[in-house]
Amino acid sequence: MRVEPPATAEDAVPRERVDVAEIFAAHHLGLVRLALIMVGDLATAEDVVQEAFERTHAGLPRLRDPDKALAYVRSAVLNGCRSVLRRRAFSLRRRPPYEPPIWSAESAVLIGEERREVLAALRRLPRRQREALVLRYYLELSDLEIADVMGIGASTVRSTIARGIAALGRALKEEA
Amino acid sequence: MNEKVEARLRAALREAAETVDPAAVRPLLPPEPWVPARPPRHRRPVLAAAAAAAAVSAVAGGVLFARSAAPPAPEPPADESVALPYGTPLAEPGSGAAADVVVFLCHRGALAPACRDGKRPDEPARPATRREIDDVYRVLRARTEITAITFEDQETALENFRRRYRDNKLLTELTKAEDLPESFRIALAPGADPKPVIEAAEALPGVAQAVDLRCLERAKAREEAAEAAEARRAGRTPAPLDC
Repeated sequence: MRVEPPATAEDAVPRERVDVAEIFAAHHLGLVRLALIMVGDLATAEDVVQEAFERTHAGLPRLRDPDKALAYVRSAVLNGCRSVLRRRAFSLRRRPPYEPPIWSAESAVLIGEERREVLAALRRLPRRQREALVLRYYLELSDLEIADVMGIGASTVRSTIARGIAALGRALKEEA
Repeated sequence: MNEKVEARLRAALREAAETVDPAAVRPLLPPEPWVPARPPRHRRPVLAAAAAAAAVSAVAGGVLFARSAAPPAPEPPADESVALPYGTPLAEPGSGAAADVVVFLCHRGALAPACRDGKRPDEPARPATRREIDDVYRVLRARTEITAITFEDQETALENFRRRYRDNKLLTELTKAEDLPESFRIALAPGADPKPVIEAAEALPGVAQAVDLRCLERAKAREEAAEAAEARRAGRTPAPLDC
């Protein structure tokens, strides 16, 4: 077990409370885009971010570490996306499948055929691989940062990404 | 191989992300002031109140009657003991006919003062007894302006409640049959005044509340009209109906 380094004068001063509203304001567009990639339509993505904002606000007292705040907020957004996808999977049993615009033919004007093929393959990956790949290849986060956001170990992140890329390659029939 | 997949993935994610127009993203709303969760002991009465209120509005929405009509029951015997289920159905399922007045009976979660005998809000109310329910039915049946009476038990109430709130999974999962009141649903002769019926019903022991649904519908329509007018003044398009 690692021993914490002795407190410096800087650490002795109580840290500034993290302003969640500020983080959300600064990263709002990025968070909405992240949610959009995960859930596939803008309106739902906006809702997810709004709800995550409200939830993190409610949990404000627990959030003191500025370095972790952004990871915490991204986790909240990813969690919201998971709930949406779960709800959709549940309602699929009774309703015709919902085709979010980003993945459907409607978006052909916005996104080219080749890109949609990649997104569709990404969508079929297991949840953890999909999230890790988006955090790496969209947000360009490091293994450690991804580990923080997803609440898993850095080595798990590495292997998950490797497996995800391999699976994606197979799905896209990418040859060497 | 992997480099090519990675490059394609990067490009696809970027393109998907860039479909979001920064100028068009709905801004964040300030969160509601945070209210700490109540201790569990206080939860039930609150939920029951919401359920009861929701049941009222469900009727106002006119949805409840699609299937609440029971199979035709034989005329109750003339003697003192009236057999359940009470009354004659208001309408065939799906015929669109609705009740004019609903008489809610006391159940354990009732908040109406008539059911509480001065108890605190976190104590269960006194449910209507079988004899009280029979008396209510007898009084209602004696009134000439009433053309049909249907008894809705807690199971049927729950069924209708679930149908009405099927989009609110949390609410429908948390609500049990015992949270909802039993009720008599009454159709009046055309042009009859519901007020005397309501007053007569509310005077009886075991009755939580009697509600004039026509009046509720009018109130709802007026509220919606006011909302639409306000939206027009503010230059917004009125929000679409949720039903």
